[in-house]
Amino acid sequence: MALSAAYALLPEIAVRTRDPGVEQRCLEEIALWALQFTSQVSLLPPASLLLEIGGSLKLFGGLDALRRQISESAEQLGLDTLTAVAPAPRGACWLAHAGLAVSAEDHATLQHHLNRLSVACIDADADTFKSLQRMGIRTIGELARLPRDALTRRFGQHLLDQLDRAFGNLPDPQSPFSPPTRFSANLALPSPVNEVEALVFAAHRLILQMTGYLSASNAGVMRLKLQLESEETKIVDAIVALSIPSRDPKHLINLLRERLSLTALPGRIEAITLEAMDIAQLAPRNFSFFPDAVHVREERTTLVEKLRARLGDDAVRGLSLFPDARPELAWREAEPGTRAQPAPSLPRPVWLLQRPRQLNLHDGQPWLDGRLRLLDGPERIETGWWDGFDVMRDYFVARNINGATFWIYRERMVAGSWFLHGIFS
Amino acid sequence: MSTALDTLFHNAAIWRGSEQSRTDSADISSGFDAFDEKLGGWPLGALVELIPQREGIGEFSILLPALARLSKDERWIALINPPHIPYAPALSCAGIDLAKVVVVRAVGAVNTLWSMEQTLRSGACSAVLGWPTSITERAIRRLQLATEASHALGVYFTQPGALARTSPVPYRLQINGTNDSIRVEVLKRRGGGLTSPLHIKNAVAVPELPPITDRDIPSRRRIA
Repeated sequence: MALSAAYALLPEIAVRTRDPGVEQRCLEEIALWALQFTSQVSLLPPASLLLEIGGSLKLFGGLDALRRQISESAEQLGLDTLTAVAPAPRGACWLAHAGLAVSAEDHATLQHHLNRLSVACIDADADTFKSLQRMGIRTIGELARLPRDALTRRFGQHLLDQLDRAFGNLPDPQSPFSPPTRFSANLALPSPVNEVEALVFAAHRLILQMTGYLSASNAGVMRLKLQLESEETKIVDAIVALSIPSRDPKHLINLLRERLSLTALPGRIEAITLEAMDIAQLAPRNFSFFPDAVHVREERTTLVEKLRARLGDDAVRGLSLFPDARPELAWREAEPGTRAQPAPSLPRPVWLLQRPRQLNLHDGQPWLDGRLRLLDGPERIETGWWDGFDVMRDYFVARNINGATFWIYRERMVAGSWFLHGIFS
Repeated sequence: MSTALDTLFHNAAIWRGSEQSRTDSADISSGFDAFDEKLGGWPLGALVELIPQREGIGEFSILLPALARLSKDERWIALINPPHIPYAPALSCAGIDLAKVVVVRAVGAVNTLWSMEQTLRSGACSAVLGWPTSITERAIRRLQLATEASHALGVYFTQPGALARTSPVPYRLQINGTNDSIRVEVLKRRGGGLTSPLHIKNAVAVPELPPITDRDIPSRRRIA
């Protein structure tokens, strides 16, 4: 139909120019996603993918389960899919194109289904279709029943080969889709958004593509970047760093959501790009004799990543000891889970003040909510002359009338100056 | 013949005052005989609110023996938004394995409560201690559900001002300091009536030293 004719029929029609380049890219993106189901994916432009699933059946729990997982996952990706299964690639392809969502597990069933298809599914020129119509041949079954030599004479070897491949009587090798070495995918949003949830929803599609890609290469992502492009073409990156590689879409989406809620959006977002910046092989899961220990370790990692995604990388720390007599240097922050030798047994408060606080004096004695009785001490700590942070202090454990116990010290360099350094909470 | 009331009593969510000892949560010994005798230890899987009357009276120390025991587990002990630096040498001295301690700094009550809920729900922690700047009844209910799911020790600390309010938390303990002991008053507990206040000997209880002057010679020296 000519465009002018279309306009005459429906003036408000929205016209888009078809872009085969975009279609091809889109198909390749879907192929990346499909790699999680099998390592053998072939592109059949413009809108079909061929998956070799013979080797995947056991892993995914049988044919029905696999088809269900494929269609459910495709739905999350926003795709309308129709799958047909056959022992021959071309046969499966014809069935799917004809809209028959059947699974023909053997050649007899395949033949039965193919026989009912219209001849329109074969790849031939207009003349061929015209003569078929004149001959009164409408279905593949009718075509296949014709004598083979007569078919070749009349329509050429190509048509016969097509039939033979569809029925699985002739080998039909497919060229496999090979994934790119790095993953990056972008998505232009249908309408600009400035809400985190809407962005997460859009990013979900890209995450699913990425996890498909990662499954194919048995890898996980360590660092991923979501680039947000605003209407004013300002660009902001949201980067999620993981401590162990992952390709769990749910986990990745959760981390991304927390990160996005911290990111200042540069206005309304028009396009997003997801990039796997750092990909690492996923260590095969070891089956431990004590399964709980492995399980807990994974849960701990997930927890740390989740907290860090929202609160920042520095917000989650472990504690460690450091051999220094100066109290403020006797401990260090560390990655959670860092092992440390037990500390020497000394009277130490559970809370240490960020910096010592000078105490008021009454009659030369330190006060804090009342007079402080000294319970233990002094413990003289005198060190640090070599690194410019000299310490000359006498530490005491002191308690006030309310029963509150403190760790205080007397600065020996300055007479009569007392400081609060810790609290025995 | 069973009456409507009998059916009601079969509901696990309902307890009778006479069934003091019957609780459905597992407990961990507190390390203090008086405490274990009265309360059966710290509850696992039930939220605890601690209301210290002031800072420094041993409100955190009463948890240390239980934390030391829990740190033998693979799971972590999470300290969320503590008011000061949790001093690693003291925790280590108390027998806590530092490799199991994780400190979370969350700005604001919302983030603190969110972090507590996440750590409780993760299943990765054996104890979660939080210091929220404020807490709502709704947040307490959420934390309680998370604690139930976790089978962990879930504790949050509040200001003495919280006493005036009612709270849906199953365990509510007020902590007071005295000269040489920590006085624990059970304001609310699950599975039983209230007990008289119990006293725990303060770990830092040693004879008082005479007032010190600048001329005093130290008795113990640590010179590096």
